[in-house]
Amino acid sequence: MGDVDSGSGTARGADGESARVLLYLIISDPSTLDRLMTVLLDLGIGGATVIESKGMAAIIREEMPIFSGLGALLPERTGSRVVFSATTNERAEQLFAVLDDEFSQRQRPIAFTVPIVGWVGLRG
Amino acid sequence: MEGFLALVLVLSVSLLATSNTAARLRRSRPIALLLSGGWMWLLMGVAIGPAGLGAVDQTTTLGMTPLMAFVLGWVGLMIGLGAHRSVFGALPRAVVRLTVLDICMSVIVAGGLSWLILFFIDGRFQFGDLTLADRLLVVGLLVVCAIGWSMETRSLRSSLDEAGASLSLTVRGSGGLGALVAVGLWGAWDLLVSADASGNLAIDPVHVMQVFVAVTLGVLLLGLVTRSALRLAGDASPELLTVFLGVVALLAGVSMRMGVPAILAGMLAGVLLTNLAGKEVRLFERFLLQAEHVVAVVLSLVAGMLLDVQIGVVGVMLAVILSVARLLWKPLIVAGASRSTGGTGKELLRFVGVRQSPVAVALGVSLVLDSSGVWAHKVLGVIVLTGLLSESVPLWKTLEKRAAPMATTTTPDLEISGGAPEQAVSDSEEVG
Repeated sequence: MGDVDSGSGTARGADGESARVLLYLIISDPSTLDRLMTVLLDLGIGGATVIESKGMAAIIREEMPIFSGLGALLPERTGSRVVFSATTNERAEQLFAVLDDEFSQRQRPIAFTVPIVGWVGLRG
Repeated sequence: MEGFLALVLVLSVSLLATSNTAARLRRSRPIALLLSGGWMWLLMGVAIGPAGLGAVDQTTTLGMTPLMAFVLGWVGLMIGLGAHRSVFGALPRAVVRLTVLDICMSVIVAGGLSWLILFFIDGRFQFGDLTLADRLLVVGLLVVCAIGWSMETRSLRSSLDEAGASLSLTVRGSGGLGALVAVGLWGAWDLLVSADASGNLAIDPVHVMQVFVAVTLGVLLLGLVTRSALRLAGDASPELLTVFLGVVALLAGVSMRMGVPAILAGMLAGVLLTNLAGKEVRLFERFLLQAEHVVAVVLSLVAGMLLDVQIGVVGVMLAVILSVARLLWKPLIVAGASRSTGGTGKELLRFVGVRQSPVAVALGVSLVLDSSGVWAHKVLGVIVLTGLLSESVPLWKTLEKRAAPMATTTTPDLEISGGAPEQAVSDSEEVG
């Protein structure tokens, strides 16, 4: 039974609220991050965690620099971000629709959800 | 038709080299060691070129001049893109010290040895029909080829501890900085040393300054045009690709027309672009760097087709002496850098300095492009042979390390430490 106040629960809440999912966004174009944050807030998706990330191809390329070794000394500027947030399935669907309609193909992040079966520590 | 087939062959091999299978192969340290210098592709180029099976003949290779200029421009851009202003502010002293020491030693050792061989010994064993200007050019080229080293360090890192990571970063940073200096010096030397109509040496510093100013202005203009073109292209991928390729081609073509080495013009353009603001420019940077391996393969293949394997006694002498010299002094200066950054100076990574930088092959191709003499192809052969010889000791060390029992730097097993704490402590000290 879901218990929002104590921050623990299982997949479906006591009032039959929409299932909880973990929303992932992989953003390769950092210039879209600001706009995406606004969209998330507009849709009521808060409490997101944003981490800097690097693609596998970038790491493999860095392991074997041929001409561009000086870049290793640059401050971390991976350019990619991963955003994840626990939210409801409904809100995630709304977000996908917005991403489809309002973001160009190049700006659109990779977005997907995975179901949350149980949780501790989530609020609201 | 042959030229078209040669181009298709080169591009096909380059794309294969960037496949997932190739990436998986590179995870093996000995293979990474061999591939980091592009040797496999270079030897493939020799095999299919005029010196090997002759699948691509001399006329066709010479007809690939525009492709060579394009590739060199791209290589120069990649080198220059590392020169963001924030890098120079953040450069550790260890990197600067190591680079300065490396440059000085290269000038003294490689310059001295090349001078000795080309000016005093060559009389007996003719390397080629070289004028005084040509010999000076070759000595200068061999000096800049001696600067720096291969920046691939994974194959020689025996542990993932902090000291190893710090030395790896120092070595890569110094290699990158050395590449910038090498290209700059080569460009200046190539412009400075020339021959007049009667073949006499002509050194004209005023001409160099004029060309430098013209190139700088040209690069500034190119940077602004690039940014505008990218903004116009917007999000459309085909348009963006057209702009990317067009900018590199324009850079290479104009530099050739001006008699400026394409690699130098590319480097200056890269320095400008990386310091320009604008997300479109970041996109362009990413595109250039993502294609690094493809461009490296193309360069290696083309270099293999261009070089002359018949370098004679003088050529072999040059290659052997220069690679032995690398083996003697490069590990010493890297070991010194290791000790100054908290290492022991005995890491396997100190042998990374022995490996010739891939930029050397690009500079050798630049000479072939700029010179009409057959000797330029021999010089490229010398550079390639030096690089191959200089890979042998690091490869042997890597294979030796793999054959030896694995040393561990992990925390001692709790059961062991619980039973005999003194023994566990002394074990980890030995390993450290």
